[in-house]
Amino acid sequence: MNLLSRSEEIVLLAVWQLRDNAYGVTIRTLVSKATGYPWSIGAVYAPLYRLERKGLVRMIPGEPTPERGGRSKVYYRLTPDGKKSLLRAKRVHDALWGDAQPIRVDEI
Amino acid sequence: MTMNRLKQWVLNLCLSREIRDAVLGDMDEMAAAMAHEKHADKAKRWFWRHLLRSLPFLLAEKLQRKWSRLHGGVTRPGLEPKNGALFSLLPIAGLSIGLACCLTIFAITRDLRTEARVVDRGEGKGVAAASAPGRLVSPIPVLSRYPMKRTADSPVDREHIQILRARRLLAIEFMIMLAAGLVFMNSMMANSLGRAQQLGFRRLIVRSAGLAAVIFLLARLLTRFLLPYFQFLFEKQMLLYWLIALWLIVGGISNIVPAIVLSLSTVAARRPRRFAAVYLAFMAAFMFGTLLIFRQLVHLKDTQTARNGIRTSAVLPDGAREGLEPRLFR
Repeated sequence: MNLLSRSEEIVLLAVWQLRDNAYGVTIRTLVSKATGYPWSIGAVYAPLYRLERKGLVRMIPGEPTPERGGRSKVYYRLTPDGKKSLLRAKRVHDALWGDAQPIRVDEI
Repeated sequence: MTMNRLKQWVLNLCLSREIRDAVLGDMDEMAAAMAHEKHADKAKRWFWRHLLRSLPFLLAEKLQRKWSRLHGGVTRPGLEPKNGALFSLLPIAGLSIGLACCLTIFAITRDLRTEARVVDRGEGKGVAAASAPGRLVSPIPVLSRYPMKRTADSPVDREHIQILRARRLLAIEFMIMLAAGLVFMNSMMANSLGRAQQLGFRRLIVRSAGLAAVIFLLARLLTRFLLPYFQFLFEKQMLLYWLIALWLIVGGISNIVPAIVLSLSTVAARRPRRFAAVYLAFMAAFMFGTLLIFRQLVHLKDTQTARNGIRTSAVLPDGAREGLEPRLFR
């Protein structure tokens, strides 16, 4: 299994965190808040598509709502492979951070 | 805030149909929230900036989806391919044997056919000279000069027996190539439909080319066993290369085309069996139509050569005929 890219990992984590309410707008809001950078909606859908292709998330069509001009949402859910992938990414991070020296900003 | 027609058009252009509604709805929702929080003009500007920033990603996503459909997303209900080593080897072996048989028979009968075109007229290229009595050379090849069956009163000569045997061999060649070609196309097509999803389009082409090369090598090896002096003919006759090229092209197309068509056209993907039947019929017509045209061209070329008074015989080396005759009369 290939490692996730940074944007894929962030979006995958956001989908996991949002659980049943993971769709374009909420994912964008969450990742923008977490990274401190205003993500565009396209920048959210591009990694979502890659994740979908890899079988890590699946699309679930929602009902049309009036505040969206009668257009339906598309919700995203993690697949079992997506969960495994997230755990693997976490293990990689933990292993690397675990052995690394603590960073002090004043030393730089 | 509702999007005007320009925005709608731009977004429609850049969005794939799978996420079109979702993205348009998301944009509407965000724009409504922005207009509620801030001034309407500010929200409008934000919206356009946001749209422009999103476009490259959305366009890339659309292209990726299109490409993925092209080389992988084949839906084929009811047409399960049979995988496994046997099902891969069967068509390869089939076409190799078929091609080898075809080449061997082609080589043997070629000797008889060129005999028909031996011209001794020498001088005279004009129509009048060609039609002069006593010098007229029959344009009918030796193969077609005799009736199909030997009658009681027909002279029993070695040539006639040779011709009858050659005719039988040609009929066998036709049947073998028909069967081998159809088996190959059918099983390769089923295989490629299944493999397109797993391998991807580019790898499928490489695999197809590899298979064609394997088939060519196998046929070449078999032919060497079947016909010891095939090497000589092979070097002399460039037309054989054309025949082989034709079969390789047919093999390659039969492997690749269904994957492309099924992934591009939803109509074909919905009815893959019907598509497969039409495709096979088309390919069979193409194969044999091309072979017919090929033979016609060879015939025309040789007739022209004969009219110009050039000997086209001597395909076989000296002494090869002695080796050929016992084989034909066995």
